[in-house]
Amino acid sequence: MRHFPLYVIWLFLFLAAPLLLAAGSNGSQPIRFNHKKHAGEMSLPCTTCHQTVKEQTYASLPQVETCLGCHAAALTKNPEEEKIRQYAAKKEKIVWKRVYQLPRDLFFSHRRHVVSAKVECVTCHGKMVDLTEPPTRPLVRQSMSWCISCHQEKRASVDCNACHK
Amino acid sequence: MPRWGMAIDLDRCTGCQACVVACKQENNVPFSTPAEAEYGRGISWIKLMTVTEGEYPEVKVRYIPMFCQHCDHPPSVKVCPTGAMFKASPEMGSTVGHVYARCIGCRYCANACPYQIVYFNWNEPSWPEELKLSFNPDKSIRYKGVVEKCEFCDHRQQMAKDRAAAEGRDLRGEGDYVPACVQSCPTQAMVFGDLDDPSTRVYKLAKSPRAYRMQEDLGTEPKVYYLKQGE
Repeated sequence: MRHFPLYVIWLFLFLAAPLLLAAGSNGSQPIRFNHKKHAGEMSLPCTTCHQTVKEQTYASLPQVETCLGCHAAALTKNPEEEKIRQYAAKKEKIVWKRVYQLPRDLFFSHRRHVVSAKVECVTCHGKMVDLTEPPTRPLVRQSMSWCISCHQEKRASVDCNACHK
Repeated sequence: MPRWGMAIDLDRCTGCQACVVACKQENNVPFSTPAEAEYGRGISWIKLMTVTEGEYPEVKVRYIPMFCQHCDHPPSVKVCPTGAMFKASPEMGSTVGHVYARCIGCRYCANACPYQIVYFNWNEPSWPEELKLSFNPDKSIRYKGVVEKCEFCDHRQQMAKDRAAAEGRDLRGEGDYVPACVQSCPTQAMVFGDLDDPSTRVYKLAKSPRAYRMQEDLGTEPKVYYLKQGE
């Protein structure tokens, strides 16, 4: 065991890489939510599911009760839709995986951007309405220079302590 | 546009150190071990200086809360090579702030500051496991190799501004937000507000004949006013 050949591990990782990557991407969300169906074809506003956008700093991810508002009875024959009622029956929470991770030293308020500054969701989150599968990574690469360029354009504060905490 | 400042009535200060505890809790300030404290490496954004006068039995102890004086001409900002230490624009309160992610830990600021209130993280900060549950999520946690200091609870200002913007108004010179130390002071010795707004209490106190600032001759123009103790 002491001289366990290391290359075996590397070989395994190399061969299993496509599987591991696939497991990490598409299957990562508990429900394969279709943004195109909801926000595109049905033209539901984003706040139908991300309910605290206009009241809080965070946007919130929908819970079972929110989904059941429409999906209490089956609307389609999609097995993904059935999962909602399974969650409800088991009284479990949907554990969505966060796509956007705000760095710990930053202050960001959705309310401030959406209500006061009237920034559209699509400006920062990209064309979510075209996605039939849950996104695995942000559609727009959000960097500090990207934030600053918009702040300068809109004459918002570019002070360090306007965002860093 | 507020110019945040503070006035501390030393006659009212009892030396209870509620402000010291409140600050530590509010800003996720790490604890240090006794061995580290012996090296003078403990971190306390606000500390209580004691001055003992006279001889027994006629002893008098004066207490002076000491923290970042948020100078209008801060020497620490002038020497910072990376721009991590900065003076905020009038729009954000003219306070002296610090971006940890930019800090390279050179400690020029700690040496330049005449008030000795910039602290360096000599070790990876650590807390007892139970206390990690009480972290303030509104404030970042620092790491080994950066300096830190009082920021007049900037994170509270950010939230206050957010609330004010939601109500469609500007931040008021007084009452919208106070730092944790001011909030916790049981004798209300500390008063916080806009130094440029004549209607605020801090404006009146700063104009009082008892008011003085620390090492005024250096020309740093501190925004913290102390009100002299009576005899």
